[in-house]
Amino acid sequence: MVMDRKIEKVLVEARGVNKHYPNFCDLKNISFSFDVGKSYGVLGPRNSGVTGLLRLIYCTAFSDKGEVMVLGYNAKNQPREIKSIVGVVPDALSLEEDLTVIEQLTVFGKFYDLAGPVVQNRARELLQQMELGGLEGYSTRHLSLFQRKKLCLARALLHQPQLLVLDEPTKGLTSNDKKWFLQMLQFVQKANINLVIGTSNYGDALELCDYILFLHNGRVIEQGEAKSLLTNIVGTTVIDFQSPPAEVEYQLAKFSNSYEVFIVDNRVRIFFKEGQDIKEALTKILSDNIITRKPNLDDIFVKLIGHSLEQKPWATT
Amino acid sequence: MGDNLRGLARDLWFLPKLRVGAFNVWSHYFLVFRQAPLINFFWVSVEPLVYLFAIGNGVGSLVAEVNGVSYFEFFFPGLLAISVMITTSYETTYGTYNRAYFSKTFANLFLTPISSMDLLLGEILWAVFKGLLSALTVVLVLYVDKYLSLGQLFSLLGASVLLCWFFSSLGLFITSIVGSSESFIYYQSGFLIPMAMLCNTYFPMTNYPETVQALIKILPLSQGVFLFRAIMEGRFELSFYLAVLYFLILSFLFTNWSLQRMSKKIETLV
Repeated sequence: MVMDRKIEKVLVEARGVNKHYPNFCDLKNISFSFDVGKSYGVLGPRNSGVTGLLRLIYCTAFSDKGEVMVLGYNAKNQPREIKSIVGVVPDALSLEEDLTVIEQLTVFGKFYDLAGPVVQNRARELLQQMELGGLEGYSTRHLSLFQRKKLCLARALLHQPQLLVLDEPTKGLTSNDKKWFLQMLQFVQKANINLVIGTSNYGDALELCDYILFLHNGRVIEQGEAKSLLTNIVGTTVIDFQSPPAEVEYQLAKFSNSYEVFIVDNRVRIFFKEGQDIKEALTKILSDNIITRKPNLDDIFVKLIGHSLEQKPWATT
Repeated sequence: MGDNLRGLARDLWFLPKLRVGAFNVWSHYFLVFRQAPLINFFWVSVEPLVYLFAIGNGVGSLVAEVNGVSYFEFFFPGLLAISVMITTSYETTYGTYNRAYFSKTFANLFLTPISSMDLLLGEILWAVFKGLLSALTVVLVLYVDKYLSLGQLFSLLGASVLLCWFFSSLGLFITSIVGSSESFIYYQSGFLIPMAMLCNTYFPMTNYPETVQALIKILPLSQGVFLFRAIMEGRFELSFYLAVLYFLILSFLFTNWSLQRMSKKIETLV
């Protein structure tokens, strides 16, 4: 038997994508290529273009310039083909308040050309899996945030998509619920569904993704393997210590010859690469507030964009 | 200027594809509609019947005859046109605006494999359905009352489809140009309600001077009332077919124009 379509190796590809959004961050000249069989994270602080980029992938918005290809389909010309093989859990959980839990799913099934009984069975199965069994006839407006997230996930999986796109999947969840949700997503990964996750939480991305794309102000500022990214960009260890404001410049001069040093407020951060001597540096530091720790997402942003994530945008120039 | 006109012509002159997606949107709205059938029953069906009784019979009993027929006979086609116009117009103005901006319906449905055209054509289909429902209850009651023949019933419904299509596409066009939902008042109180009052509905056009009559005649509601009256009187002359053509052409143009304008907007709505 001749296959009428070649098996796609490229999950998502963007070439020189520009997009203007009136209500959030514009995307500027974005290019990347994601492969089938891996999970990808699009990471960025608030309003850095993550949602805007994901929307181009799941085709509720279309690029002004450049091309987005999803599993061999062109987003501009074949959005309906793409939508029929992509499942979406959007950030703004768009559930219809007037419908019951089970209707939320059966109504969606119709749009994917699924027969009534098939949808009914699959919907019930998914609700059981999401631990929402027994809530079938419940009105959506009475659901908690966690239940809404799970219902959205069930809805996104209804038509057995090849790609699942999630925007901020764990935002607003308690740590227990978050754990449950991440485990469910790992289960989804095992069923050979590719994930693309937009998030501002590095921990989530690290747990689920093989590869990470960093966005800031609508541009890709860094990308790489999730596991080695921190060590490659920041290093193996970070020493973070407090310094009196007057001495900050002095500290910078003292360490910047041999190490990477950054100032965040009144604290000095020294990044250590593999093999650099931490003990020796520690002896030179005069401070009663020294922390030695593993690198984190904030360090990456301090290095790549020059300020901490916690700083308010209006505090920086 | 020339380029603008050419662009407009391109926007207006194409054949929109009515795909299965639009019908899925319709059936989705039907499911939501079924959740609260009574609300719709009162708004779409009871209201026009109350008007018909109060004005047609009540006020009508004070009036001897209009143009040689009883006041009820004169008023009924006007009322049918008004209720069809108001129901469909509401659906694609306030209704569409609400689904697009507030109730997340657009954001929701746009995740499924449909294009923006499918979504918007679904809106028009839905408004046409709601308008027909309104027409259906009125003509059914009069049919049961043996006031209408079966042929008249179906002809009236057929003509209602034209009015429904026209007013739903015009409503969608208005939705594509308003800045906020408050602006619908201009359309409602400045266009729809005056038409409902003045276009040969409650009193005959012969009360106006000739020039005003000519102006009133070209308004869509007058044309609609004319269609219904012609059906009731069995007068299928050239002017009847011209009125049909009037609705077909204008509906087609407004449908395309509103589809173009709204689908450009849709990215910012979802």
